[in-house]
Amino acid sequence: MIAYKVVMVGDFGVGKTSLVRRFVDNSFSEDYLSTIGVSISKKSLGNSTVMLWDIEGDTEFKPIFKQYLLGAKGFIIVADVTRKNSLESIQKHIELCHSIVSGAPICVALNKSDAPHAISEETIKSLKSLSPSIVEVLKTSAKNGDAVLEIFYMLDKNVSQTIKNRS
Amino acid sequence: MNAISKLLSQKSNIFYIVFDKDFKTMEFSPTIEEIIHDEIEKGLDVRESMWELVGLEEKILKLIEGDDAIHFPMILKGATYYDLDVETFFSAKGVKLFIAYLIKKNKESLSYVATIKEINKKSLIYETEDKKNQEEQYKLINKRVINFNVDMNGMITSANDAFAYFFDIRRDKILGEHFSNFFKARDSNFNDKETIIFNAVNKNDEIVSFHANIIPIGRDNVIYENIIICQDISSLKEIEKELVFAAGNDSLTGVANRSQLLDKMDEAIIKSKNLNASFSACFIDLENFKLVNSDYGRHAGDMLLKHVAKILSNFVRKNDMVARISGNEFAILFDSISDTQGIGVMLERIKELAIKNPLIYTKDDVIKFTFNISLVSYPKDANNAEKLIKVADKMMCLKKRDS
Ligand SMILES: Nc1nc2c(ncn2[C@@H]2O[C@H](COP(=O)(O)OP(=O)(O)OP(=O)(O)O)[C@@H](O)[C@H]2O)c(=O)[nH]1
Ligand SMILES: [Mg+2]
Repeated sequence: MIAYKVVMVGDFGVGKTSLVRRFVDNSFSEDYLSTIGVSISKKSLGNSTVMLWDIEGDTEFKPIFKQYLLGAKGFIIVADVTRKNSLESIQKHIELCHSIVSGAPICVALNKSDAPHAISEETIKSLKSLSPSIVEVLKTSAKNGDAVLEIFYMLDKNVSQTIKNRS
Repeated sequence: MNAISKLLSQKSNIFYIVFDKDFKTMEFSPTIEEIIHDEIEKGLDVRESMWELVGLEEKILKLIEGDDAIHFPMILKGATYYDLDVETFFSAKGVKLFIAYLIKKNKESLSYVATIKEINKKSLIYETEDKKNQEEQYKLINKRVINFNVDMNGMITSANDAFAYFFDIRRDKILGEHFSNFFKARDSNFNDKETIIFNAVNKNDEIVSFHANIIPIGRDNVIYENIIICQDISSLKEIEKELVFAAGNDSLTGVANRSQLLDKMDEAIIKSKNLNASFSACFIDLENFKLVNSDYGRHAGDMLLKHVAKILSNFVRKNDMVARISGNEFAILFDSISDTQGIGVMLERIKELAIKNPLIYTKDDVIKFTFNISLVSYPKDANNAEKLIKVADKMMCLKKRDS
């Protein structure tokens, strides 16, 4: 049994908390209650236990507090398919994650895919090429559950493998 | 360790766990079960009860080599925020042990949390509702949130772009300045304050009001700096003023409405009781109002009401109150006239007002009107505001019948 830490990173309001809620207790709320600081949840996945750090989103006047990323084994970077700004921030977030844990695996969640949007296969491809550490880029919806389990399991598979290889 | 644990447990807002280099739990504060998720027991892996430590093993072990203490601010558990610190120390037996403690955050941090939540909520709405202008909107709202740090002397130690934008000044010109060169508050001392209202003059020479949240930051109960977050509330203040006015005033004429008159009468009653004094109010029926409405139309009726409100307001003294209490009925609450003679003169002059100031509707149409006035006094006629108005109504009816 291994336990490790994963941090959810992204702009404010993209659905980090919603993805965690959908994954951990299969619930969803339309209300937006912004996360301040960090809230930590635990979830068991087969052979591993994940500590999910749901941290406050990045805003122009309050950058992400780097310290929260310490000791993470993987990251989920979340963007909102309906907000161009949040998609453009992905690159910046990758750099942030790697400045704290270099080379850690990252999954990118293009969230709110239930809402009308214009994300092409092209875009996904170009996002994947942003860094070799990107394991997967998936369109997710915390609202209807699309690809939520997939993205967390995908990251888990990758992190567990890395940990096993090392020991 | 004894000394530390004693000190710590004295403060009910601090919880701690002591563990060794194998992460085995050694000791913990008796109240810690309130705030951890899983069971806690001596000898168990500390990470079972303190999930926060997972992933930090290497960093924790490095504390022995003299690395800086580990600090995580604002960890949410239930509805409460904690700061987490991990440090190392020698046990009585000379063994290096570790202590992780969670410190409950004070009230200041909660008002700060509420502010940020509000700002983010508004920003998200702006960003998603109007796709075309989303970038501009987003910038606009963020430009409005000014955020800076001041040291304990009020000197600015850092500031965001919004600050520079608002005052149209370069950022390096801000640092090291006293904040009062930019923001005027009644009180320049931040200690013990969570929020404050600031005024500032922007680059267009307009005065802008800000609601500021002050968040002290410090360690070991020593505050060394404050973060100040300012939100532009000029627009909110305008709306609030309008709402308060609308609740107490007649929308057509702008004078007080019935509800404000009742409030004011209640106040006058309390004042009179205390001083063992009396006060009077007169109720004015605008006669032939219905005729004006039917002969000239509603527009003329409205004009007449506004006209009457204006002449009454011009006539009364500063502390008297003019109110429109129903369709064609006005009232004047006199501030401290008690002698009957004084009131008698006053009523005669009000009647004259109507005769001397007909409404000039058009060049050829001069609308004449008259007042039917009744006077009531407290405590002579009734002992509460509603009853006083009823008595006045009754008097009015009697007069109409007689004439
Ligand atoms: N339609 C739709 N709405 C979503 C989805 N995920 C989240 N939302 C909504 O988006 C808003 C923000 O969601 P949160 O999960 O609080 O976002 P966050 O990234 O945690 O925000 P911060 O904590 O402020 O950084 C909420 O109103 C959610 O209901 C989704 O998949 N589809
Ligand atoms: Mg959140």
